[in-house]
Amino acid sequence: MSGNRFGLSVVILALLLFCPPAEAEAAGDPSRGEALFVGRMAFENGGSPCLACHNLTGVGISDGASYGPDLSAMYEDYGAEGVAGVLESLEFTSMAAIYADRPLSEAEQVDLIAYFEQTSKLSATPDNGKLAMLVILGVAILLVFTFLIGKRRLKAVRQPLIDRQRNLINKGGLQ
Amino acid sequence: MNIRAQVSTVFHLDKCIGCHTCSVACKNLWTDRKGAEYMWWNNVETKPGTGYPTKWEDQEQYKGGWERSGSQLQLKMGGKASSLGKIFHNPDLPTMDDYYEPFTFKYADLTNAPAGKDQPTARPVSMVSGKPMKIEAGPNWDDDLSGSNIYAANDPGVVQLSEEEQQQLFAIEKMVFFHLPRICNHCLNAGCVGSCPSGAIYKRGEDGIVLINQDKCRGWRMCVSGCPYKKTYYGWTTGKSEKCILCYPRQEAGEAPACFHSCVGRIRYLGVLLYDADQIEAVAMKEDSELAAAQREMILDPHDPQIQKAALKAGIAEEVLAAAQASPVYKFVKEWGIALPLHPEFRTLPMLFYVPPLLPVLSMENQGSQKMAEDFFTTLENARLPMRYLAGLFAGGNEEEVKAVYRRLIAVRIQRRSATVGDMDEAEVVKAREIAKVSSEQIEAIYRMTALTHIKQRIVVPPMLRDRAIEAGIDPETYKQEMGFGKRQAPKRRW
Amino acid sequence: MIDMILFGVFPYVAVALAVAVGIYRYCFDRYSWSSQSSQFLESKALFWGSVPWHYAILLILLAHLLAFLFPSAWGALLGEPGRLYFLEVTGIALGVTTILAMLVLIFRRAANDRVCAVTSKVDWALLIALLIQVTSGVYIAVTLRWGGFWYVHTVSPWLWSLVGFSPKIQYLAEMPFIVKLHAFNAFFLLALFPFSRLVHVVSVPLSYISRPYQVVVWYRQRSGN
Repeated sequence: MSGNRFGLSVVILALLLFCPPAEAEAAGDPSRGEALFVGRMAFENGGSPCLACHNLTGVGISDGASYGPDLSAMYEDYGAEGVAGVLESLEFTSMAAIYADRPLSEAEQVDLIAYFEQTSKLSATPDNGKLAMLVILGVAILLVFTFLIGKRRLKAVRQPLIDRQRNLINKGGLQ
Repeated sequence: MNIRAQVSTVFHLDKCIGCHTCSVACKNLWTDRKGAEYMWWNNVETKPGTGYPTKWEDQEQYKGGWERSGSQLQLKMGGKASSLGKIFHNPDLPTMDDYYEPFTFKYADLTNAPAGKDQPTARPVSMVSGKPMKIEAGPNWDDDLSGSNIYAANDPGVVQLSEEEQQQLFAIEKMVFFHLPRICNHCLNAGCVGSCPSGAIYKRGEDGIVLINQDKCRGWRMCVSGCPYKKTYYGWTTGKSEKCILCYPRQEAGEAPACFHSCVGRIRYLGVLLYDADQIEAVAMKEDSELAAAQREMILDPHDPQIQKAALKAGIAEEVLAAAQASPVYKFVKEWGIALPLHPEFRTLPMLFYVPPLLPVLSMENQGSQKMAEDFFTTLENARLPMRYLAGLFAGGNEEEVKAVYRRLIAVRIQRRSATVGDMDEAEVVKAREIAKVSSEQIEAIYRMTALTHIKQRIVVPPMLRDRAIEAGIDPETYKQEMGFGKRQAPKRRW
Repeated sequence: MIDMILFGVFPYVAVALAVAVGIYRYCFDRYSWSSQSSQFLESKALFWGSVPWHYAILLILLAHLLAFLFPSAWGALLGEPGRLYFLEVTGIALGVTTILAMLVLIFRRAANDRVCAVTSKVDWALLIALLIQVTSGVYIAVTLRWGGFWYVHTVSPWLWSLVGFSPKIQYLAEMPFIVKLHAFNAFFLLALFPFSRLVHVVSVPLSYISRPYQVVVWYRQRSGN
C-alpha cells in the first residue's frame, strides 16, 4: 500500500517538474523548436516530429528526410505569418490523418517558427551521397560477416576423391 | 540404479557373405518410395572402404557424435545454443552427392525409338530432377573394391595406418576385405536424439528403439549431422528425417525385423540387454580405449536375483526379463566377450555389436597346417588385416580388446578342429583355451550359437506388451472408423 | 472503397486465414509442418542465400514489431538525429542484404535442377511475394526517408486501429502507392503463411536449450518412477 502511494507521488512530482508551462511565451525558443522538430521532445498531442518526413538545413544530416518536401526554404518563402498558417492546420495529404486529432499546441508552433527562422539563415547541407556510401559499407560488412560464418562448412566429400584420382590418371600416374 | 531394457543386436561378421539381402528386404519394406530412394536404413559396406555416405567415419569432416569438453559431454557439432544459431544452414550436413543421386533409365526409349541404324539405348535419368545424368555413384558403389585407390585407400581407418601396414593391406595377392552390414545402432547416448532441436527423436523406454516422431520433426536436419554413423536420413520430398525403426511393428507382432529375418548367412542375433541408465553419461566420458570395456561393464546380468528384483521394480515386465535371460546378445557381448561395438569412440554407446571377422585375419599364414596353438596366436601380430585397423573399428584403438576376442575365436577353431578333424593334440587345445581364457563349455556354446541354432534362439524378440500400452486403456469404440487405415497420411508433401 | 477493402478488411481476412488454417493444419496435418529445407540437395548457394536472409529479415521484422508495439519508445529512440541516421543506415543495409539473398535463393531454385524439382507453385508465390516485400521495403526506406520514423505515427496507429476493430484507413489512404503495396503485401504474406512452408517460422525450437540431450518416451504407464 505504502509502496503504491510512494510510486504515485513520484509520478505526480515528475509530472509537475516536466510539464510544459501553460502559457506560451510570445517569443519562441528555437532550441525547444529544434527538439520538437527532430523528436527529442515529443509533441504535447502526440503528433509526428517533422524530421520523420522533412529535411531541414539546420538538422545537419546529409541526404536527409525525403518523404515530404524540404522545409529549409519555407521560412524564407512564406515568412513567419505563412509558416504559422501552415503549422496551425497541417492539412496536407498524408499529414492530415496524423494531425487531425493531434494538432500542435500554440507554444509548440511558436517554438517551431523560431527554429525555422533561426535555420533559414544557414546554408544547405549538400546531398553528397554519404547515405549510399554508408549503406554499401553496411552491406559489405554484413557480407564479410557471412563469409566468416561460412568458413568452416562441410565441403563435398566424395567428389574430391574421384577428381583427385582423375587428375592422377590424366597426368599418367596411377591407373 | 535405473534399470532399463534394450533390444540389442549382434552381427557375426565371419558369417556375412555381403549378399545385400538384408538391404533389399529393408528397402522393399520401408524406403521404396519417392524421396527415400537414396536411403538405405540397412546397408552393407566393404571394408576397407569409404562406405556410405562416403567416408562417414571421418568425424573431422562430418562432426558426428560426442566429444568431451571439460567434464561435460558435448556434441561434436557444437553446443545447443550454437546449434540453434546454425539452424538456417547446417554447416555439417552432407549433401546428396556424398550418398548418391538415385537414378533410373529411360527404358521406354528402347521400345519407342524410331527405326534407325543404331541400337536404341536407355539413358540414365535422375530420380530427383528427371533430367539425364551421369552416374558416378550408387548404392554399394565401392562394393568389393578393396584395394581400389579411390575407395579402399581413402578409408579413414586405413589412412591412419603406417605405410607398411597399408602395403600389407593392398599388396597384390594379399588383398583382403570383409563386409560390414550397418543399421541404426539404437544407441544409449544417441547423437541424433541429442541434436534434435524439436525433440522429435526419442528412445522408447521399454525397448530402447530410437524413433523419430514424424509429426514433431520440423526438418532442421541436425540429426543427420549428429549421428556419427549417418543413420538418420533427410527425406528431401517430405522435409522430415527418417531412420531405421528396428521394424518395431514387426517386433510388436513377435516377428524378427526384416533384415534379420531375411539374412541368408544367419549372421544376425537379436535379444534384450538390461543396463543401468544412470551410468550412461559416466561411461560415455571414458577414455577412447576404455569405452568398449566400460560399455560391456554397464550391461547387467539378468540371471542375478538382485538385478531381477531391481528390474521388476523399475517396471520391466517378467516376460521381458525372461527374454533377457534367453538373449543371445547377452551371451555374445557379456558372457563370451566376443562382440564389440562399432566405433565406440563416437561416444554414443551403440547397442549393435559385431563379432569381428576371423577368416581374413588368419587365412594367410595358416593353410590349415599350423600345429602349435602358440603359432596360431602369433599370427595375430602380422595378420592380413592389421590389428590396428580392427581396433580402430571396434575398440576405439585398443588393440588388446580386439586381440582378446580373436584369441577366443581362435580357441573355438582349435577345439572344434580337434573334435571334427582330429589333428590337434588335446594339450594344444587346453593351451589355446588357457591363452584365450575361455572354457570348453563356453566354446561349445559359442560354436552352437554360431553354427547350429534355430531362428528362435538367434532372434529372441521380447514380448512388446502392446496390450498394456497407455492407449490400450482407451475404449476402441471411441475411435471407431477413425483410427487405423486412413488416419495416417501418406508420406508426401501436400502443402 | 478499394482502400477500405485492402487496409480495413483484408488484414482481418489474412489474420483469420493464418490463425484458422494454421490451427487446422497443425491439428490435422502436423506431418506437413516443416521448413522443407533443400540443403540436402544443394548446400553452397543456399548458404549465401539462407544465412544472410534469415538473420537480416529477423532483425528487420524485429524493428517493425518493436515500432508497432512500443511506438512512443521507438519514437524516443529515433528522436536524436545521430541515432536515427545510424538505425536507418543499418536498416537499409540489412534490407539490401535481404534483397541480394532473396535473389540468390530465387536464382538457385530456378537454376538447380534438383532444387527446382522440389519447388511447388506455392513456393514460387511465396518467393515472389517475399522479393516484392523486401524490394518495396528498401525502396520506401531509400526514397521516402525516414520510414523508420514516420512508421511510428502512420503505420503503427493504423495497426493499432486494426487491433481495436475500428480500422483507421485514412493513415494509409493518402500514402504513396509503394507504401500501400508494402502494407498490403505484408498481410498477403500472412495469409500465405498457413498454406506454405512459411509455417516453420512458428516452430522455433527454443525449448532445445533447456531440455536434457536424451529424450526417453514410454508407451506404458510406469508405476515405479
